[in-house]
Order: sequence, then C-alpha cells, then structure tokens
Amino acid sequence: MKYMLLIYNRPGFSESLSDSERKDLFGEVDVIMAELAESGEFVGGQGLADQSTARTVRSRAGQPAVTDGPFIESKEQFCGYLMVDCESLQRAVDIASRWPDVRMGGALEVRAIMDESGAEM
Amino acid sequence: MTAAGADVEGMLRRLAPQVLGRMVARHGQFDACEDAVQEALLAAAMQWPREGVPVNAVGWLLTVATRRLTDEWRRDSARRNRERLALTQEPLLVTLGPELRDEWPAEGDGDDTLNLLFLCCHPALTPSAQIALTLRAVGGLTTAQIARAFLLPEDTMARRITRSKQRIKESGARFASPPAAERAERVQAVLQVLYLIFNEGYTASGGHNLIRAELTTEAIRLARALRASLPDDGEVAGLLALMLLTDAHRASRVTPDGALIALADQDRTRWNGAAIDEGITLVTAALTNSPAGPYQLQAAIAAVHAEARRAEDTDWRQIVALYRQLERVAPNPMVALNHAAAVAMVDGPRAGLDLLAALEDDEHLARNHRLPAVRAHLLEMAGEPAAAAYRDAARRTTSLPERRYLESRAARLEIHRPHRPGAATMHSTKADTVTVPGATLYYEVQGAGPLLMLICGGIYDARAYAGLAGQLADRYTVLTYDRRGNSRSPLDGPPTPLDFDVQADDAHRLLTTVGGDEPAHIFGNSSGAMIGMQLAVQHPDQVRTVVVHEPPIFELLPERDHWREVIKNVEDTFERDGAGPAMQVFGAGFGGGPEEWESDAEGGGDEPPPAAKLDPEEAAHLAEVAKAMEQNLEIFVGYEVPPVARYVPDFATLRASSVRIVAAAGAASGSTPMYEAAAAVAREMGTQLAIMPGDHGGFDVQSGPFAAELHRVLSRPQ
Repeated sequence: MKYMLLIYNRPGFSESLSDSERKDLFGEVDVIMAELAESGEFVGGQGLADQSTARTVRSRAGQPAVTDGPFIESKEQFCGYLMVDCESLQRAVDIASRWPDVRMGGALEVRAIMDESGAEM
Repeated sequence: MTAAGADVEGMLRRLAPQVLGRMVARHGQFDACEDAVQEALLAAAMQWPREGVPVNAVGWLLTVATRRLTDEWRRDSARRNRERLALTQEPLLVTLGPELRDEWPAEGDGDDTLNLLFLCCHPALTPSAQIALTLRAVGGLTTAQIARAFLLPEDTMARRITRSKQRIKESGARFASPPAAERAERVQAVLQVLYLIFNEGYTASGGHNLIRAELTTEAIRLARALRASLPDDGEVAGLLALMLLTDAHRASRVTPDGALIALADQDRTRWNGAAIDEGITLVTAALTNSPAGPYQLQAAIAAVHAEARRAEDTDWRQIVALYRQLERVAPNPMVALNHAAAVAMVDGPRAGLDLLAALEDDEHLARNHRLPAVRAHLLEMAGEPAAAAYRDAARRTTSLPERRYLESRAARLEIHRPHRPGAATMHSTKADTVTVPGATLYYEVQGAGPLLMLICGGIYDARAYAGLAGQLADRYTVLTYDRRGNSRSPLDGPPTPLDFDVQADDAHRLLTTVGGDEPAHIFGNSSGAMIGMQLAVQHPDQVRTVVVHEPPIFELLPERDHWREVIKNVEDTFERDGAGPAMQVFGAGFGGGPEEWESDAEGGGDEPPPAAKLDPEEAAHLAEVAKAMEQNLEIFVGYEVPPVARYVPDFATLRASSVRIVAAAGAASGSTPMYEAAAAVAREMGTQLAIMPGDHGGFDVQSGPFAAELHRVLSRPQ
C-alpha cells in the first residue's frame, strides 16, 4: 500500500532552533530517509518553500483568480510530504511517529493513496 | 522489439529459474548468483537475437553467469588484498566449447525451480519483498519491469530486491528443500505469493499499464512451473485452477473506459472458454484426489459461476455449501462476508443481512469497505434504502474503480429532484425541423459524444426528455423529437392509424439528418420502445443498441385476450363517442388514468410546485405543455392505442441482427403489464432484464439516477 505522509508545522519553526538542535534534527531525518531507501519503502518526498511563496487559485465569477498566500490560514502549515510503499497502515503510522516534527509541535497526517486497480463486486 | 527479440525474451524467462537454481545449488551464495545470472540474461538478450540461440542455451547462460561470479570473487579478493590491478570487463561474447556441454548438461533438475521459489518466498521476507524477488529470480523480469508493474521508482524496487537478498543471506537459509515439518507451510507461502502476483495483475484496470496486467500471465506461468514440480499437490492444482477461472473474465470485467462490471452483469459470451474448461478439469481432479484446501474450494466456487450460462442460472445452493466448507477449512472474515452474500441469493436478502450483523464487530472488517458494500447490495435486494451504505463503502475503499462503481450504485438509488424545463442547462440546445413524407418533424440536439436518440411514447413530446437529455449531454449527442402528429410536428393531412414502418422511417430519416452514417444508441419508452425495435429491424446498420423501456406489447402476455377486449372497447367508443369517452374507457381498462400506461411526465410522483412560486416563464411553459398533451390525446387514443396493442416485434430478425436489444423495466413498476412485457422481451431475446430507477416514468421523475443507469447499460461491452 502506498501512503502519503503530509507534514504540518508552524512556519519558520526551525528558525527558533539552535545550530546544534537543527543539526540533530536534520540528522534524524537523514537516518529515517536512509533507512526507508534501504528497505525499498521510499517512493518520494519533498519539502516546500516558505508559505510567503504560495499562490492560491480559486474561481471567481467563473474565472480563475489568484491570491497570494496559502489556501488555509492556520497556525500549522503544510510544509512537505513523504511518500512510502509499505506493508500496512500501522507501518506508515510508525514511520510518521518517528518524524521529528511530531515531537516539535507539528503533526503528520497519514493518507492512503488511491489505487488504479479494483476488484469487481 | 523484433519477433526474434520477443522469442528470446520469452525463452530467457523460462530458463532463468533453471540457471539460477543450478548456480545456487553449485556455489551457494544466492545473492551473488542472482546478480551473475541477471548479467548473463542481459548478455543473452543482446547477443542471441543477433547471432542466434546457442544449441545448449542453458549451458551458455551457466558459463557466462559463472564467469561473472568468478570475476566478482576476483574483484573482492583484489579489494581485500589492496592490489591496484586494473579490472577489465570480460567481453560479453562467449563461445561455447564442447567441454562445457559435458560440464552443464542441458537438462536440469526440476526441483531447482521449486527450491528457488522456497528461497524467494522465505518467511524472513515481507510479502512485497517475496513478490519482487520471485518475479526477478524465478520470473526473470528485470528490476525496471517489476518497478513499472508496481508503479514504483526503479531505485525503490532495486533497493527492495537487494535488501531481500541480504535478508536471505542473514537468515542462513539454504538452497534446499525445507525440512519435512516446515514443508507444507513453505508451499503455502509460495502459493500465497503467486496469488498476490496474480491479483496485482488481475485488478489492474486496463491497457494503461500493460506490464502490470501481464502479471496474471506471469503468475499463471509460475503456477504451472510449480505444478510441474508438485504434480500431486491438490492446492497447487487448486490455485492454478482458481487463476485460470478468474482470468477467464478478464475481457468482460471492465467497460472500455475502465469502469468495473459486476459479475452478474458481465457478458458471459466473452468469457474465455478454454481457460474455464482447463480450470474446471483441474479443480475437479484435485478435489477427487486430495483433501479440499482453500484454493481448491475457491476454485470450485469460481467453477460454479463459470458453469452458469446466465447469472440467474447460478447454482447458489452449491456455492453456499462450498463457502460453508471454506469457512471450516480456512475461517476468515472475508469468507464469512462472501458466505453471507451467497446465502442472500438462496434464502433472501434478510437471511444475508442477519449473517452480516454478526460480522459488524469484527475488527478486521471494521474499516474495510467490503462490509458496507455487501450490506448495501443486500439492502438494495431487500428494497430497503441502500444508498447510504453504498456511500459509506465508497468512502472507505482506496481503489478508484471501486469507488466509482460504489458511487454510481448510490447515485442510482438517490432520488433527485426532477429537472424542470426552463432551468439552466450547461449544454445549448439546437432546435430544427426536417420534412418527411406526410409530416414535418420537430427535433432538438444537445451535447457531444456518441449519438443517442430518445423516442417518446404516447402523448408525450421531446419536452418529457428534457431532464434525461440534460443529464446525458455531457457524454452523448442527445437527439429528441416530437413524433408525427404530436405537439410541434404537424401532419400534412388528417391523422391515420399509427404505422410502425412509418414511425421507424421517421426515426431513420432523423438519424440520417443528424448523424449521417453514424450508428446510434436508441432509448425508447413505452410505444417509443417499440418504434426503436422496428427501427432496428428495418435499419440495423443505423442502430447500435435499443434500450426497450416498458413496451406495452400485450400480445406477449398470458392475459392477452383480456387486453384485446379492453382495446376493442376503446376503439368502439372512439368511433362512436370521440376521444374523451374513449380515454375514460381506456383509463378504466387499466385501473386508472392513462398514467398507468403513459408516463406521468410532467411532475407525477413528485410534489407539483405550488403555483404561486412558479416564475411566469415556467408557468407559461407548463401551460403550453399541458395544452400540447391535451391535443395529443386524440391522436393517442384514436390512432395509436389499437395498433400499438396489436404489435408483435419481429424477434427472429432481431435475434439474428447485430443490434443489441436491452429490455428494461422500472424497479418500482412491480408486476404491471408493461414490466411483464419488458421481461417477456428479455426472454425472447435471451438476455437479462435491466432494472431502471423509478417506474414507467422513471426517466423523468428520477432523471439523475436514470441517466447514470442508462449510461451504465449503454457502456457495457457487447
């Protein structure tokens, strides 16, 4: 099963970290990523640039209208994702639980990815 | 790939397990041997199509793989000794000397393949790792092919395979038959991996990913190889039979646009008869010779389905008995669920729902979509509200085609407010007229896609189809018209009795005007359905499908004498006293007003909107429609009812024709004569009756769900 782990955290939270804290954090992420790559579970993942670079497109009077800023204004913002292919939802949740953002006031949302396959009923 | 290239690839995939098995048997070191064999296969894939296949192909591959392996050892020892020797790649070209033929006899030991399967499906590995390794080491697929089949980056798959090989090494597994105590369990693991590979391919929805769909072929091939090693194992035969019987549905399980077709709705003439025969033979022999295991029982269930020429001929009692046995042999909640669904087919939906109730607390099923999906199906069978359960199931599934299927089932059942003429539609409608012998026909065209003509019955005109046409215009070019003599299609002279040949000719001329040579789908309600059938008789080249919705073909009913009498009475009254009294006789004869026969198209079944709330435009429109209907009454009762009541379709011609005739009737039409007549048409044609939402006028009152179901019927493969 493929899952997307959506990472949410306060924008700019890493600015509040000391150099050594930041180094530890990236180290932790590197360890998890290396482990997922080695196990053949890592499918993809990217971090997102600061929310000040976001543009949101909506329909206004039938026309696409573009505004600056993220889709939803909230304390935590969507700041990156990780995609894994693993044996179970529990395994995906375990991976999410180890992600450092969880410990640092953020949250990870684990979402199953829709499959193009289907069995007749 | 050239033909030669394709042959070579197929050959290499057959040889791969033999070569790898013998390498590992001789050298141990599964991981190193696997790499070496892959390189040998690659060399052969490049060299053989050009230079021809060597006489001793296995010997050639073994020689190259052994050289690769010794290179690797040399390289390792070189590294260890810190010798700075430049390593040159051995040229790929290999000439096979006669001595090699003796060293590597062309015939290998069949157990090599089996031992390889045991190794690849080793319990130290996760199922996804077992699958990947089996496809690569036994199936001979490249890492890139396996990655494509599982929609993963090649790097992810490469790492997965490398890691599994390391795991095997660490586990100390040996390339040998497992100890007798473990053997049954290990065979089970191999069967499960092959079945998982099969299902990955079988559930893939169509031609977008060919390599993925080919996993079924690969799984069947591997199951055959396993059976060659274990010819007396009933479960191995059972699994092969199950795969063959399931794969036999491949051509009919989805529509061309990838929508799932339920087993009961599949076109069984397109099932693969050869695969079914082989599967049935296999499972019958297996069940006779060995204790019934889960794969044999599942194959036996598939065989019972395969033996039913039509869905309604299915021997559900036997299926229930097999599920009972399966629950004893291999109890699991999915089997219990399928058992409940089968029981519903024998003892009725209530009995099935009672069994489901016991499963509600099962934690494995708690979040699974199958439980609400089966519940929805049984509720629908019981005539109880089922849309919410379908929606629930649709939200829970992670499969796109399953979600689509479940949502369309829900939509079919949800009652939509009927579309009101005058409300905004997304599609602009083009209205025009065409002159035909003796009349001028008014018609409307909207939307884009394959041509679909809707033919009205009775007093109704194109406006009765406004809602349905609006719902379908995003997928079809929808053509509607007022039949001659009705509403906006004036006759040149005085009215004459309805002539089906003339009506079919009108439809034919209209189709030519709008669609040229393009064959069209036809939907006809009531007498419009009969005109559609006559059109199919006279112009089969112009028609793809006719959906025959509740045609009043009284001559097909057991109580035809009674209807003849009623109609004679209507005719006499019309001659003597005119349209009004004749209409009353007609109404009395059908136990109600004309709505028993003719659709109550303008709002019947739905609360009519209070007059005060109508905007002036809509009010004027309704008044105009009412006036037209009233004028059409005389044509209807005086000139249409008698010939319609006497009409018998030319079934011999229709049965021989390429046109698909789908008889359809409303789920809420119960045992009305129109429902019974539709069922009789289905019997005459040897097809299944399609059940549509609502009653005789369901196309208008429930135009949303009706449109969804009509589209489903039309998109079913031939």
